[in-house]
Amino acid sequence: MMILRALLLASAASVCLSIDMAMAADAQKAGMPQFDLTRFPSQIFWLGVAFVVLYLIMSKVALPRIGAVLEARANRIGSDLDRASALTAEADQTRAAYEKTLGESRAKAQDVGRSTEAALAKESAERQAVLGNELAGRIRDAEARIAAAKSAAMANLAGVAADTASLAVERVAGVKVDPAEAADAARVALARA
Amino acid sequence: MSETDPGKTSSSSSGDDFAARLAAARGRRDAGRETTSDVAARNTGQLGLGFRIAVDLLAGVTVGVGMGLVLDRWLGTSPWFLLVFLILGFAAGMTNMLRTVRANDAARARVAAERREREHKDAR
Amino acid sequence: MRRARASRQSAGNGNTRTPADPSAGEEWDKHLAGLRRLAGADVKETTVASPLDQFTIKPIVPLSLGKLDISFTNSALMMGIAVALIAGVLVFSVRSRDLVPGRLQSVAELGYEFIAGMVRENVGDEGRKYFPFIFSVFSFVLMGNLLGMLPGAFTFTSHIAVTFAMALTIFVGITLIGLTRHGTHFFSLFFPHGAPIAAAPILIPIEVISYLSRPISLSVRLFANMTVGHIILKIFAGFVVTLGSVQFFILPGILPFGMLIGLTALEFFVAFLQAYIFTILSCIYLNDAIHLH
Repeated sequence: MMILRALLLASAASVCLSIDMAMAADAQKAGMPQFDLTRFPSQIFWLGVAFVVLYLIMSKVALPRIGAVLEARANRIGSDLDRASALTAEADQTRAAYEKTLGESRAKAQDVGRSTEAALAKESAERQAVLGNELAGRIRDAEARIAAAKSAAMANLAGVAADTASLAVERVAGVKVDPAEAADAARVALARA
Repeated sequence: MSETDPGKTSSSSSGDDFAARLAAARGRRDAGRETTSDVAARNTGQLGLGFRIAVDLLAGVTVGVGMGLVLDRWLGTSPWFLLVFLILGFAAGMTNMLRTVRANDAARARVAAERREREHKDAR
Repeated sequence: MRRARASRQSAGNGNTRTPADPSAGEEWDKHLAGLRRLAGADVKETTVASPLDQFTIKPIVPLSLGKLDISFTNSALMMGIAVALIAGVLVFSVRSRDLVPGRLQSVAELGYEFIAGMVRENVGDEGRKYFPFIFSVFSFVLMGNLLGMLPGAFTFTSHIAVTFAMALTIFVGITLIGLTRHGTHFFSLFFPHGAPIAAAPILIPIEVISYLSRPISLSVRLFANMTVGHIILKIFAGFVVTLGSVQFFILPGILPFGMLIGLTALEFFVAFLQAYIFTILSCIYLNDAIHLH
């Protein structure tokens, strides 16, 4: 389609040229209404009238008005854009500050938690140590008491044995045993046992 | 459900979107509109260019012939001025053609360069 | 006398061709007859006209200034409509200074920024003064091209008289701007930098011709594009009507109809592109005159 158009355009251009030249010789033979010289003056006259009117309207009324509208809008849009960026920057700042605060308080909370934990651990360790010491002391006391009781019991046991033995001897042999001797013998026997 | 999470994604993406649109709007305002010769370079095909330069040549020849005829009639030297000015007119037509083609090439090159630059910027 | 001619021309749509193009008309009739024979059915007379008819200038109100015929024609009518539409869009849509513009206001602002950017890029800050003129040129040409896309509408930018008058005005204006800014130094434009002085006798005529050819290339490009586009559209529309109106043969009309849609889209694009090229070249020429490359 474009090719067809271009071909016709080219041929028309050459036809125009030839007609243009023929026109100089004989205007009446020109085939196209475009080369009818008798129609030139009216076209040019009205072209001038129309164009002057158009130019006056454009230059005095229409274009200054559109220019003013465009300029006002450009300024408005420019200031709007500036304000939008300012607000965006402000929002960014606020968000950054908020995030910073948030991070700080989170870190602080962690610190507090950690120190509380440590204090608690220390306290419980101390308490545990105190308790342990106390228990150990008590155990030691108890052991000492047991040992004392044991030795006391042992001492009593010798007396009881001597008494028992002297009684037995007295019954069996009818001999009165000297309590001191009986005690010595019992101590020796116990020591041997 | 996660893809249509209404709270977080939409607010963050709309924030990014807003920033991008703001930047685009500023860019548009600062860069200005595309140049008018771009329109010509993009829209006039080879055939259009061919016709344009044909008219350029024809106009040069026409003026040359016209001047030759006028000079010959004035000085009574027919057909010498016509011959000389036919050749000069042809040369002037060729000059016109050359200028049109060169301007067209320049506009084309500028459009291509701008397109590359834009693509480069987009890629970044 | 003039009125009679006007009525004859406006009535001459069907069988009688305008006296200006007898050969083209005959050719077309032959083609049409062939198509009719092919179809073996009757084709409505009024639906198919010569593809050149759409360019015919038809006077609406005959006027004259001295010896010059300055009748108000269909071309002048379309110019007036174009100016009214541009002014309507640009003045009345931009009433509210809302932050978010309406649809028409967006169009107006888009056009403003498009041309302001074009002037800024191609001419620089000195071009600010000429922005209203450049904008008027662009909107006028664009609106002329687009209005021509309406079915049955006249395209004033398809006439070399209009495009050349505009191009010549722009060219003369720009040359005067260059001359007042730089005085005789302006003529350094005709000698390329760094070229050997010995080449001047050849280079200067070439540069002068190249410079003088600017209004021609500017106007011919716009005129030829518009003319050819409309001829192609008309021919295809003719095919669609011819093939589609044949009884029992609706189908053959569909393929050209599809192509017609594609071509129409292409022509809308061309309408914009040609207005754009016309304007940007004006900017480039203005830049040359202000900065002497």
